[in-house]
Amino acid sequence: MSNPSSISSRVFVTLISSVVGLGISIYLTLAHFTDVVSLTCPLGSKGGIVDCAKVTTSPQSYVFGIPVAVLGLVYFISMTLLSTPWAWRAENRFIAPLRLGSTVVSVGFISYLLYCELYVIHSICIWCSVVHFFTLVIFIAVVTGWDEATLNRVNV
Amino acid sequence: MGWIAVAFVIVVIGALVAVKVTSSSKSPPSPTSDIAGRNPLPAPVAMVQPVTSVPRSVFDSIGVAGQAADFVVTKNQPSLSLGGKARFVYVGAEYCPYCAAMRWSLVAALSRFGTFHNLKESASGPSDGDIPTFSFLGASYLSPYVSFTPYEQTDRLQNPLTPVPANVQKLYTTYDGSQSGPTIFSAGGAGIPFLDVANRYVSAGDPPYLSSFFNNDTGPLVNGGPGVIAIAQAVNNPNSTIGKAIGASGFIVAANYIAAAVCNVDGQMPTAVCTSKGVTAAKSELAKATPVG
Repeated sequence: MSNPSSISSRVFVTLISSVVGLGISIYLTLAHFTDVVSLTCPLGSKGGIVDCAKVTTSPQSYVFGIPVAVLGLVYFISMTLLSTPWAWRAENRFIAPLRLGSTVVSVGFISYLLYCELYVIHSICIWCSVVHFFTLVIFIAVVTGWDEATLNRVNV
Repeated sequence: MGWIAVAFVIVVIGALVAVKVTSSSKSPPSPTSDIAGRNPLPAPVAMVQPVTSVPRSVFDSIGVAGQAADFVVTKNQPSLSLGGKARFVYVGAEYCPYCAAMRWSLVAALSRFGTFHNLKESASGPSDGDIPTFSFLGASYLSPYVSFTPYEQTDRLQNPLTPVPANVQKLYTTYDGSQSGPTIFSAGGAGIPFLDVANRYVSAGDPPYLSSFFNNDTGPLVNGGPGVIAIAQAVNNPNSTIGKAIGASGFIVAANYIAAAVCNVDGQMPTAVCTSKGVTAAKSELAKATPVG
C-alpha cells in the first residue's frame, strides 16, 4: 500500500504545474497570433542567448505546420484535466496510462525543443524554459507515481 | 523503474546543456559567429508570407503618398540585362540600417514580379540600429520579367562578405559615385543601398521615406522594433495600429517606386501590376524627372 499523502502531493504538484504551464501557454499563444499581446522577454536581448522573439518566430516554432505554442496549450489543457483530484481518483483504467503517455511524449518533445534552441536557433526563450521546467516536473511526478496511481486511486 | 526513466531524461537534458556550455566556452567570438550575420536563419513563414502577399489595394491606396521619387532617371546609357531579362542590381551591406529598411520594400515589390526562395532573417549591425530585416544571403529569386542580383558587401560587423563582381563594381562607381566624389547620377556621392534597374533608374543611399525607420538610432525599428512578425504584418497592413505607429506606409511608397521602375524596363509586365493605381502613380512621378546622362 502506498501513502495517501504521497499521492495527494503528486496531485498538488501536477495540478499546480499544469495550471502554471497553461497560463504561460495561453500567453505564448496570444502573442503568437495577435499583435495586441506583445511578447516580453525577461533577461532577454536581441541576438543574445536569451531572445524570446528569435525562438518563437523561428522555423522551429512550427511542428507539422502547427505552432508549438498551440501544441503546448493543448498539452497543458489536457494535463490540467488529467491532474485534477477527480482524474487521479477515477476508476477508468485508461486515464493513468493516458496521463503517463502524455508526459512521456511531452518530455521527449521538450528535449527536441531544447536541442533546437541550443544548437539550431542559438537562443533560448525564457517563457519556453519555464514551460519546459514544469513539463519536466509533471513528468517526474507522474512517472514516479505510476504504481501509486494505479494501485491506490481511491485514497486521493 | 520510474526513477530510472527520470534519471535517463535528466541525463539527456543535462548532456544537451553541458555540451552546449562547454562547446560555447571553447569557441571564442569570431567574425563567422552568428552575431556577424554570416549564417542567417531562414525567415519564418509568418515573416515572409505577409510581405510577399501585400494586397494590391494597399499598394493602390498609398501610392506615393506625396513623396518624390528617389530614383535618378538616366538617358543614353547601355541597357543592363541578364538572361534575356532586365537586370536589377542591388548593392548593400548587412550592417547598413537603410539597406535593412529597403529590403522590406524590395521583397514586397519584387514579389509582384516573381518569387523569392530561402529568404533569411537578419538585422542591421548591432551598433547600426539593429533593425530587423530580410537577408538575401543564400536566397534566390525567380521571375519571368526581371533578373534580380543582390550583393551584400559586408556582414553585420562590416567584415567583407559577398564579393562584388568587377562589372557590378563598375556600375556602382558610375552611377553611385565613389570616395573621390559624386557623379552626375548621384549628387550626394556614394552610398548604399545602391539600386540599378537596367541602368535606367538608379538610386544611391537612403530614400527619405525609409530613413525615418532608423532616424539616427531613434527610429521605430531600432533595436528590433516591434519584431519581425509585427513589422511584416505592418507592411501587409500599414493602417493597422503597429503599421501607423512605425510609419509602414513608407515601405509601400518605396515598393511602388521600385515596381514602377521595373515595369518601365520589362515591357510593362505583368499588366495587372503595371497598370495598377499605385504603380501608375509612381510611374507618373518618375516621368516628371529630367533624365541625366
